[in-house]
Amino acid sequence: MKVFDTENDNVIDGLVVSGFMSYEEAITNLIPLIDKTEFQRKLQDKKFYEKLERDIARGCVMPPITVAFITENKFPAENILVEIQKFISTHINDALVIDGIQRLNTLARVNKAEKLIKEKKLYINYIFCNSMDKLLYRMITLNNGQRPMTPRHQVEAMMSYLNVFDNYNIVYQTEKERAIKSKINPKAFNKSDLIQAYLAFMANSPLVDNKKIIQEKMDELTVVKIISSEPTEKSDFSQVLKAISKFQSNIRIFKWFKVTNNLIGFSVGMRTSYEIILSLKPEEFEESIKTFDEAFDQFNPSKIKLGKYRCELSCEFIKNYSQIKDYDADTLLEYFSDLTNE
Amino acid sequence: MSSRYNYKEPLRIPIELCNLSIEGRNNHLLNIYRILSGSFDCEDSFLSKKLKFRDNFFTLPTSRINKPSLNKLKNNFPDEVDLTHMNAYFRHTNSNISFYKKLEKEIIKCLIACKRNNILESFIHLYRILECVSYSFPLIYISKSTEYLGSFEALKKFMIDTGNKGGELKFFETFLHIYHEEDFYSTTIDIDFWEIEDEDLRIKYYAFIKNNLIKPQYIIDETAGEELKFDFIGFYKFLIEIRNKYFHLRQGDWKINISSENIEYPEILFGLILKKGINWISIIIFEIIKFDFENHHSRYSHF
Repeated sequence: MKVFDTENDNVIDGLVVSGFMSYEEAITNLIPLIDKTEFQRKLQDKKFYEKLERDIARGCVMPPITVAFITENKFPAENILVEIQKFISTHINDALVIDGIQRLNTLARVNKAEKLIKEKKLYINYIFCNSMDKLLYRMITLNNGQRPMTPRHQVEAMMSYLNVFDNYNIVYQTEKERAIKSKINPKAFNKSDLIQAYLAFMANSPLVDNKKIIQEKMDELTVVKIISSEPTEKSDFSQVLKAISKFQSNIRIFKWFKVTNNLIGFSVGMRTSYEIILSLKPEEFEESIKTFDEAFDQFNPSKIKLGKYRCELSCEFIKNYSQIKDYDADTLLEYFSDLTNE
Repeated sequence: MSSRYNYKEPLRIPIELCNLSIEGRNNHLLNIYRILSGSFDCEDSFLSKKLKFRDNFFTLPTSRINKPSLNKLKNNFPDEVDLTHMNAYFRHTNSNISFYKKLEKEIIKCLIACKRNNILESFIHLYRILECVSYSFPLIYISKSTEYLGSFEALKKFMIDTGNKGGELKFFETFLHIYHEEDFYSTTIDIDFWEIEDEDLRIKYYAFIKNNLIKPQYIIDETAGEELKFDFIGFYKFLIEIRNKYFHLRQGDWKINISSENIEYPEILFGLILKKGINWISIIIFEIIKFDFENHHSRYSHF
């Protein structure tokens, strides 16, 4: 066990310390604390944590958990880290785990299955403060143990990090911006389309926006899909952005991308076919999507399933591109009919 | 004698969309669609009461319609479908009339009782709806499948999977598997026990449902004492289980029924699940409407 840095929290008049324990130490010291924190969220079904279990056994590093001490004790400025370390090891039985109960439980299960990499580090944030109320205030304001960000939000954050415009020259607009006619940029993508495409890419599934299922439920489903489709070895979403960037100046292709379901299907298909697609010249890719559209128009699904099929079939088309790139529209139509039983 | 329920149109419907109106027409399938999508008013002449229905049971979970509109009426369908398509569709819905009429009456009874907080009465109608559709929906589905050869195989498979002991309700469950790739099929139905104010009762009924009425494999997630998330098919099994155990009290049976000793406040227990049940069956009803719509499209593809 080790602590390595401290800072004062002036609002709750407390001390925040960061440090780590080995997984083995965490099992001995922290697991017995869990039952004590009755005010915490009740234990959730372990099904959702099975994936984390697998990842821990493979050696993933978890985000820090938060452990608190309610104490009047003031640490001397001199040798503070040593003093704190001493305090923690002698008072660990009085500690409260205020964030990370599910993670610790998962850790305990991995240990039981004897799959734990015992020396791996678990990072811990300690909070020392002198009243339960202040601690509670901090937990609530920091959103500890609250609902996590939705996958949509997380992808949105990642998009601004990727700096899609500067790095890929891809312009996008929010729906709000597009609501004002004069502000509509005909060369821009819809931001929500790009987010949806990114989510579908992560989930490895042509997620169709299903209006019937309310957003919160849809997010739950998306998370389940993302968790069960592990990260791929080679492809990542930047290759999708690269392809959009490469092809967008071709008007025909740009229009094709602007159809949300094409963009989503394309993105998922790119997980498999990024090499061959990125090697194409814009004119070659234009020919391919012309064939696709010709076949799809003849396919003529009902209005009810139009969007769904466009999404799924554009995904299939890109995914199996190396196999079907030379099909003419009729052969492709036959291929679509076989896939969908229509 | 004139009918007990007089439908009142809450929407302003232009003449060219007249097939979407609940007044002056007697299209039972349309009425079902309108009632369950929360754009429906009706007068109960026996109680002399005007009732407004504003829950859209076609979304998962149920959503509230504050002000019904044609646009919201259309919104349950995918974007590619517009009001003129709907109008054309509802002009030609003339098969299975007596079945849809029966179903409509049960739905009306169910929703009115629910609205008036007659929870158990409403639940009985919900159960009658389940029984009413459990055999008919699979048959409608099969009879409209254009491939007759395929339809025979499908029917045979439903029957075989249902097994000798399974009845119509089990047959329906087997049929539902055709939706296994749909998003709603992997969505959970969530029972929120915080709707019960009394803490002791909340914990008691949580434990009662969890331990007696549902197999663990159908609980996808739970927060002890607060929430149970049911698997979509599991919720259907649960509805049947609670009905079988509560609405019987035979003593010689090998099955253990629910005695009123256990459930002193059935309104509270059933209140937790009633609207979820209506939501559940509405999702399936909408799938059947959609399916019918699609087939209609291929028959009348000129529109």
